[in-house]
Amino acid sequence: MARYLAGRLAFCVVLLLVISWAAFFVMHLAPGDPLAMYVDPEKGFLTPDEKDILRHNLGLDRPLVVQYTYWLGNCLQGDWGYSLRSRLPVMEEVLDRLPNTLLLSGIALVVAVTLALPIGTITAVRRYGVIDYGCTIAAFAGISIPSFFFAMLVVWLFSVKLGWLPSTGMHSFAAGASGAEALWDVVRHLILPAAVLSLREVASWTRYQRSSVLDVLNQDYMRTARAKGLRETRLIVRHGVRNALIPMVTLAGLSLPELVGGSFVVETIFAWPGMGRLGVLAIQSRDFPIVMGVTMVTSTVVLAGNLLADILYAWVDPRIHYD
Amino acid sequence: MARRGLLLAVVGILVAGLSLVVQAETDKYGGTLTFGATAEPAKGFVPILGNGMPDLMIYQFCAEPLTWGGENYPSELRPILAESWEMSADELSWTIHLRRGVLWQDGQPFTADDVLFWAQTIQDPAAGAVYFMKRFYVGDVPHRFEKLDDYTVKVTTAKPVYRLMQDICVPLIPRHIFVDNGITSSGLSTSVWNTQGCVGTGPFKVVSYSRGEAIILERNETYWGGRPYLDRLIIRIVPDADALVSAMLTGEIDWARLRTGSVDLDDIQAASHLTAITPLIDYSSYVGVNVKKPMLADKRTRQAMLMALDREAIVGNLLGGLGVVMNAPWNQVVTAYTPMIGYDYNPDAARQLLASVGWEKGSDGILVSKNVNGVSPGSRFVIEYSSISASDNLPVLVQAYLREIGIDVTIRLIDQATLAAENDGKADKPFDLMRLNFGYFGSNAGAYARAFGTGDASVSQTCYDNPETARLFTLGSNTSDPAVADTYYRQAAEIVWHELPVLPLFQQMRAWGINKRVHTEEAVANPGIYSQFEFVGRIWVDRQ
Repeated sequence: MARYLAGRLAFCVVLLLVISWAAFFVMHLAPGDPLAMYVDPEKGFLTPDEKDILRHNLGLDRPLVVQYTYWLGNCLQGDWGYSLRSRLPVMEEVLDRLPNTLLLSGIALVVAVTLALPIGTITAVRRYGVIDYGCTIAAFAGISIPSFFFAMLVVWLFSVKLGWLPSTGMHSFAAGASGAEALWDVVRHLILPAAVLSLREVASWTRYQRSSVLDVLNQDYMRTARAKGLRETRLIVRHGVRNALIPMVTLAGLSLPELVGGSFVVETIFAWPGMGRLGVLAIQSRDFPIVMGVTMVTSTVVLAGNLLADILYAWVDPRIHYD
Repeated sequence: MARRGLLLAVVGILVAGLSLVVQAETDKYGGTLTFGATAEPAKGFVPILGNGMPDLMIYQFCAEPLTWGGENYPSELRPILAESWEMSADELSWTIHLRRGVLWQDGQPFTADDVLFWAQTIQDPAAGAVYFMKRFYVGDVPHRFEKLDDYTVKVTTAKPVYRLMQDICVPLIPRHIFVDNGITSSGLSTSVWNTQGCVGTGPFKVVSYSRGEAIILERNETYWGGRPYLDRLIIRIVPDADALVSAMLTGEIDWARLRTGSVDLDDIQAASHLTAITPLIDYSSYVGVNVKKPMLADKRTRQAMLMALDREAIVGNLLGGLGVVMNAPWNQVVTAYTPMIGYDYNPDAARQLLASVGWEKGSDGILVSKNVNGVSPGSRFVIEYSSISASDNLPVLVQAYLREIGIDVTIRLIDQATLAAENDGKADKPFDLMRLNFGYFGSNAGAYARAFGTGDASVSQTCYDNPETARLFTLGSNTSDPAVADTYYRQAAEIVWHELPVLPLFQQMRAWGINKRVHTEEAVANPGIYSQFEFVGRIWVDRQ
């Protein structure tokens, strides 16, 4: 197992290097000049002289290969450069927002797993019953509703009409709030975006789990266990659900990057200060160092998600060994 | 006895009245006001670096220039950190007397050393104060700033600069912060003072910046202009315009700019706790025309195109009525503004004008060159509109109106960076039509030189290089009397209005949603410019 892990980690490092190289050069192939985005669109333009000064100050007048080598060398020493737009260190910009995105995605993931597994299992066990049909309709609705629409719907209902929950941000910034009060403040801000972000996962995972449990229910070992007199609930939980989890582990592992990167819409609508928003803004403004930072962090999360999924296979399925 | 009773009653009433006044005044102190912004500071907190909406939104609370009267500030020249100034007899130097008793927000005194450091930093290309640098130069010669004493500065210029006090209307920065911390010009933008919050002399100071979420400011207790009413200001960053409106409806945000031509305004006006204002702003929209393209080179063609646009209808459809049709090359804020006549919506007259240029109607209704100068006979009048926004409906309207007079416009969607890369700095720009917006230049028409008076096709956004308008703008900028300068600018305006290197469309109004608990009467709100309040410290809020 240790050897397998070491090999996978080494492969990840090489892959990250290739990703960084490809991302850097492909990004610079895109038409457009970061300096063109340096000016407020409402406030006119810069003269060529003014642009030259800025280009030099930002290091954009060097050859591309030099820029990449410089970036990589600094990156390996922990210096990811500065945002062309805000002049903040990239590391600071990205790492400032990463925990917020991980918090939102993590909670959404927990909510999705907590709801999808039991609902999927129950609908499989009680297939073609009222609960199954009800949950199926709800799941299809959940898959079909675009997240931005669902987001606007819950904001209108729970924030504007009922006034129960805040509609934007992560904090209220009330003067003097601390401890439990501050924690509760974050939780209140988290409820709506996490609910919206987890909706699609709950809906689709419910269907996957239902199908997976149905497959397992028809297996010989389930029949054998039942014939040996095992109680139905224990049978479902011990033998059915655990075996049905294997495809779910794959799904969860692959969904992790989707949750991290795909939270852009939700982060934008709820003004959640996360990484998705940062990445898109950086792409629009040709802020190359930030795009590189976000790409590398997202790639790392994708690779880590896949690695985690592989390790979890071995945990949920004793037949799998990494020797 | 009765007289004494009467006296006591009068005194009692006076005391009660006075205490009510004092109470009312005291009630104004305290509370938090939350602004909404769709973007966070783009260039940071050092106020010589940024010149866009999100940056200026913060500068107006924390930093101050020597005077008002320049870009981003109320147009009247008024003393702020300078108390007075005078020009020398030879017109080559100015003596500026600084306000005494002003403290930076960290308690250090504001002196002439700060002014020298501020000017030298702006003049240093390494600092990257590109928006303002040239205003501290005459050509390649920097203005020389000298300290006469702690509160007097002498500025010497290579040539007379009559609008010096307006030109250098840029917020001050503290010398001690940068010098004491060893921060050089090249390190200015990446310094913690730029990325976390700078020290200014304004009524509020930045106390924290939660990136992507909010900037928190607190009252500057030592503000020279009197103790500000509010305890705190919060600038919440909400990138989605719909979410911004929702946050206003829920009461999370008190003051925010709304989209024009959307339902935002209706939503805000329908809410009992909110109100909206829609001031006319120093910002106008045009269709830029590439005057070097053979099909568009004849001014009569451009005149016909403007006559083909029903600009009243465009204002109604595009802006929901929040704008006025332009009747001059610049807007009504400019002192050299004079309403001009012509170019009312008249498609028939437009068709006749195009016929006089040498265009004739083709079989499919699109014009074909008969004998248009520079255009091969038989060529169809087909041009391209480069649009940077899929949500901008202006290109579609322009396309429809020009189709009516036989001009076929195709719309090319292109991102802003690519459009700029294709055209900026080139004398032979590839675009035919594109949307241009000019404004926030203030009342001085001289600022429009960059649009109409460069005399250089590579610098002009529309390749317009008329040497006569360039000459008139130069004459205007070299004239000490603003009224005389305006006569030159008016002459230039008449030429531009006749030649139409741009098709002037409308001057915009800006819509703001405001919570009714906010009181700006004493603060003199002026949302038409980027510094939205004349006296930020005088804003107060009702507290429940």
